[in-house]
Amino acid sequence: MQLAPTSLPVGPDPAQLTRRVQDMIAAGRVHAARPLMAALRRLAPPSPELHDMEARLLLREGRIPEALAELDAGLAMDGGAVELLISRADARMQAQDVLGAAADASDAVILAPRHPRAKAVLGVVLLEMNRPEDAVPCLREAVAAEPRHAPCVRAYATALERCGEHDAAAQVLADGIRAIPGDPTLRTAAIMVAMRARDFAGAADIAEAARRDGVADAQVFGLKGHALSSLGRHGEATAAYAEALKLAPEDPYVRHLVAAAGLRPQSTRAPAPYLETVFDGYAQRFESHLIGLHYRVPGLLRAALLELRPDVGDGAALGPVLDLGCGTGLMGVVLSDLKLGPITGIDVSDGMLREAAQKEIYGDLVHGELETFLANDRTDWPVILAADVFCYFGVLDEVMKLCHARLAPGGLLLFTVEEMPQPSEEDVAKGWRLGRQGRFSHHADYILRVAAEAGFALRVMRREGLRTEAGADVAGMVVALERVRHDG
Amino acid sequence: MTGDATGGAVHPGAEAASAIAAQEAEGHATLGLALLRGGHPAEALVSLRGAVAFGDRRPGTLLNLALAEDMAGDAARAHTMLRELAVAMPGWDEPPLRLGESLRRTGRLADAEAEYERALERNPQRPEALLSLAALLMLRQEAARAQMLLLRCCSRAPDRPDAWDALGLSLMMTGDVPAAESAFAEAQRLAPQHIDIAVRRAEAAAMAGAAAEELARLEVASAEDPANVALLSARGLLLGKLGRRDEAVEVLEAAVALAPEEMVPTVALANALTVTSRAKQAAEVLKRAVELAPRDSNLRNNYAATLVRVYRYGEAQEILEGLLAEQGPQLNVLCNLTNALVSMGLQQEGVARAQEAVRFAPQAHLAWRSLGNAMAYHPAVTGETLLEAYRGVGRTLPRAPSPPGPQPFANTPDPERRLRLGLLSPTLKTHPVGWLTIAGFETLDPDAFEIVCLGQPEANDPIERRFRALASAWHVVDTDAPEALATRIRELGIDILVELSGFGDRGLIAACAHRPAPVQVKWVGMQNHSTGLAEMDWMITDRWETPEGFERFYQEKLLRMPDGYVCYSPPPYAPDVVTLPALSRGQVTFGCFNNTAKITPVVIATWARVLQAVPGSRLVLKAHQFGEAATCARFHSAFAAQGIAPGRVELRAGSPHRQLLSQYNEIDMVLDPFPYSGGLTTCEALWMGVPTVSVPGETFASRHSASHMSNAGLQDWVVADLDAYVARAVAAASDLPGLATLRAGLREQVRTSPLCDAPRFGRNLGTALRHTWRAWCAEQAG
Repeated sequence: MQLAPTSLPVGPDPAQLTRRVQDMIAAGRVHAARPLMAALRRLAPPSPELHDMEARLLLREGRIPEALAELDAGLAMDGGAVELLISRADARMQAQDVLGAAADASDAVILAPRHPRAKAVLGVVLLEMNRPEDAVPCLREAVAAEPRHAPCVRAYATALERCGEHDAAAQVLADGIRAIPGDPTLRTAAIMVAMRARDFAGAADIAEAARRDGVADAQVFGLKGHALSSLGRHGEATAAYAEALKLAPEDPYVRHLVAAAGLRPQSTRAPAPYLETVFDGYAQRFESHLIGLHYRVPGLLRAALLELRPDVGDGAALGPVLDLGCGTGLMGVVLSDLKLGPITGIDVSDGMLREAAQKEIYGDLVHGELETFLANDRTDWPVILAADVFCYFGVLDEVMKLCHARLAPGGLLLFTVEEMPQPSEEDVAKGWRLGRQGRFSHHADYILRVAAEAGFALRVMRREGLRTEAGADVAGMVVALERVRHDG
Repeated sequence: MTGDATGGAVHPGAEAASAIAAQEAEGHATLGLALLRGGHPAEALVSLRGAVAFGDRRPGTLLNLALAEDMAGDAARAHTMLRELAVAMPGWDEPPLRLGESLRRTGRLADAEAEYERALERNPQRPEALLSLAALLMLRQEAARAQMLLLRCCSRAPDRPDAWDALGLSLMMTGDVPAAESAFAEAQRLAPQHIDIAVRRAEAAAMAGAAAEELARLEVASAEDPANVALLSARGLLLGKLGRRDEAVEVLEAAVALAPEEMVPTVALANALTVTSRAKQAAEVLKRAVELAPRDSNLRNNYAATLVRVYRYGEAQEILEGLLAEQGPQLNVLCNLTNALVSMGLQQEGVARAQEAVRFAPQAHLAWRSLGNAMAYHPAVTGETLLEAYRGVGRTLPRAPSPPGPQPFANTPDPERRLRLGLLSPTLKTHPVGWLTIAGFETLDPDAFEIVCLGQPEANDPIERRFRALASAWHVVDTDAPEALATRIRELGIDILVELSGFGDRGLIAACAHRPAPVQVKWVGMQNHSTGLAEMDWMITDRWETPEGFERFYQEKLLRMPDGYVCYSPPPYAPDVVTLPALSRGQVTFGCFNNTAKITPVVIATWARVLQAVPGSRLVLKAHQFGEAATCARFHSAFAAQGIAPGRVELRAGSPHRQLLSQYNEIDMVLDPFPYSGGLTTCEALWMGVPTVSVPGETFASRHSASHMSNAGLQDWVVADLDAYVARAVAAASDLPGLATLRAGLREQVRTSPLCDAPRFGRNLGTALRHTWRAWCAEQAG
């Protein structure tokens, strides 16, 4: 029988353990680093380095306030520790403290002017502060020093794109792809840059190259499908969506795309994560994208409103107004010369809402799904607008009832829908159909039926070309309904 | 441990010595004791002998002299001295205790036991004697008697953690797990850093069904003492038991980083890495463990088995043969060696080792399994001999007693109702099982079949995600013992169990011997022939795999699909097909990307004939095994013996999947190995535009390529004998335009063939499975 050793046979070396933990953090093995980090903090005296390591672990775990406390403690020990300043800038960014992040990033750059990570974090902060012109030189330097750092390359491309330098952004991403061919995020970013520039053929080519190189993930295939669909190459788009589904069969975004391509039984509405993914990706260039598509919907809804309430055009006040699926706030812009308000906008995409907020038109902007919002809201709205929103719903019964319940007596619901092209008998009976682009189209009879069932009276229903796509008009309807039955 | 000269009885001889001699003697004795305590027995011996020479006859001095003799290597002399001392000092417990210790060390356990008993007669409360005797009794499985001694020991010496630890062990042996846990808890309180004790306490808690509670306690304790390796080791063990395998690895990694010399966390980490399919890391950790305990044969065997998993066959072979040379035949070692040898392409040697295993342990299913798995590659294998080997497995697999009652299954025998399918395999992921079955399951009618996966823990794997997306439930079963797994499957009410792992590494088929489902079907996953299992009702096959008349080679009823027996899902990242490389290269390149286990001496001789018949041609072989220089040298030499210069045969090691696929762009046609043909490999070659010449035999494994080629419309590449094989390859090499045309359209041909037609396959699979169910229902009705 062996006797118990009462102490560790070999004392662990804190320096060696520190390196080990650093390697684990660098490799993204946060959970693996945790137990060793706890031991290390017991075995080694406190130091700025340990505070930084702990903070980086906490940041990866999403524990931002605790990470900030660690970094504060580390900087209290050594105010000039560049790595800690960089980490705190990162942490403050995550805590939405952009000014604090800017201060730390600037200090880091002053202390270490040639430090690529300091430059990178300053660049990202400036980008967040909507100063892409200032971000560009910082990120250029950072990328030159670390051309294989994918987040930095992406940020640099974003900065260039926001400066309007689309080609330069595309080139940065192309260089990044050459430097890190195995990174799918750069492929996705490059595809998005091309798509925002309406270069769908280019986007499809980048996606195809990613497939050939073996780095295409579900998102790349999904975007490839989008691009091909926009080019009218629906058969190839369907194949791309099918591949996306194989790679991410559980992903609601992919499932929706696949349903749109007709590969799976159709769902009755686009899932919120789908909308969020699509629109967060598009947010920065959404307006120019849509204006480029001859987007007329906000103007059409404004015209319908003024037709029903001419007094508003003469300067009468009306409000509050609810803008469902407000996106980047185009509807608000179109209404901004009228005495309408306050306007509340709701959208599932944070990116869109940030853009809308910058217009300073909306009284309130809410992140969430509109059905949830309507179900919980208690305001009696005189006007509810839904510009290019119901094309993400198949079945409209429920949302109509919710809008009806939230309108003040005599209140107006104004919206657009896409019209079903060449409906079959089955389509007419069902009333809606999921199209290849992931949007739903509707039949006029269906709109009339659900509107009446919800307790609305029809005031306006007009066929309009909503926009052009692949060179053809997308036909739709502008609809205005008035709440006449007050039992909701 | 040494005796203390001042602590014993009065030494009568000292009184007779002169004052000077006594002084000399005292000096020598004191020095001798110090040297003995300092671990210098040879030097101590000189001093102690000097003390005795000067007349020191004190019992302490004589005892220490005996101990020094023993430690310096003369055990016999030491034993004689201790016996004399015991006679001279009949009341003193030290001589028999020391004699017992020495006898135990030399392996004379019965004699040791007698001496401990003698020590206890002299001093019934002597803790060391109680503990040592109890340990010997436990070795003889006399746990109850040991327990009595240990209870005495613990009451006499309650501050000894080893006594409480031993008491815990004895309580575990008598099945009193809660009391054992209490004993371990006390031991751990006294020795909180002791790894073995902490781990034993955790094991006891897990056995008592309190793993989660013990883990929670350990996590709290660990938070307070995060550098405590014992706590980390025990946590790692419990996390593994609770199925939280990645966390187990993380915690054990920390334990090993903190105490790299400790065996328990090191071995536990290696095990945890193995069950999380991180064999490469496991091999590194085991290497370290073997360095720490080079005499531990289990450890060396495990290390070798892990080396096989990471394709380091030569090293594995060396270790395993070393173990056999040192310790004679051992079942696990023989089976691992069989696997290593066959993998290296040494099929005859492998089968010989497997036969040795069967002779050594004819009732061990592992031995028969090794034999079957090795024979499938052997050039002389026949349908009957392979069936016989697998029937050996079928006979020897353990079976639980039948469940009581007239109705063994609660499943409703309604032939048309929706059925619950259980997919049993630890490889429902990116693996041949995944590539060849997922499309079929995805296209099964969900109204007719519910799918329950019985597989591996969640991993970030694209094909696994597809399985998860179609499954109504997923149960992690890959480390369940067969009988427990069978009970679990039965409780899930599975109607048709589809076995997809076979007798491979970590295969789960042994559970099928317990008959967990009313209908049991074998499909893919080490499907190299019949399973030989009486409880396996059906085997999914096709008319090419098992033509009419092949029924005699199968234990199962054959469920022939109308097309091929699998549906291939090509990877989305496959590179494009290029034009025939021979056209630009000016020479024909034959290829084979199958593993070397399939390349027999006959295959090499046949390929040599092809190379000789096509002047200027070359052969590219690609397999993980070619990462080892010795294997490459052996293969080059085998080709040279057939008159083929090394320059005409290129041997490539393994590479990531996409790179492997891209290398088909350098190959004009594939030469199939035999009698174990390519399976998924042939499908991949087809997808890359490269056809395979194949010669099927009688076994299932020999006919995979024949099935896939025929299913894709290329029956004319399947030939009857070796002459025809050579002729077919030569003819294709002589018609490069024809080969180029075939290649240009082959991907599309395959895409639109039944081999890749998932909806068609899904319908057929549904019909086949329904047929098995109706047959069972009919049996119930009859």
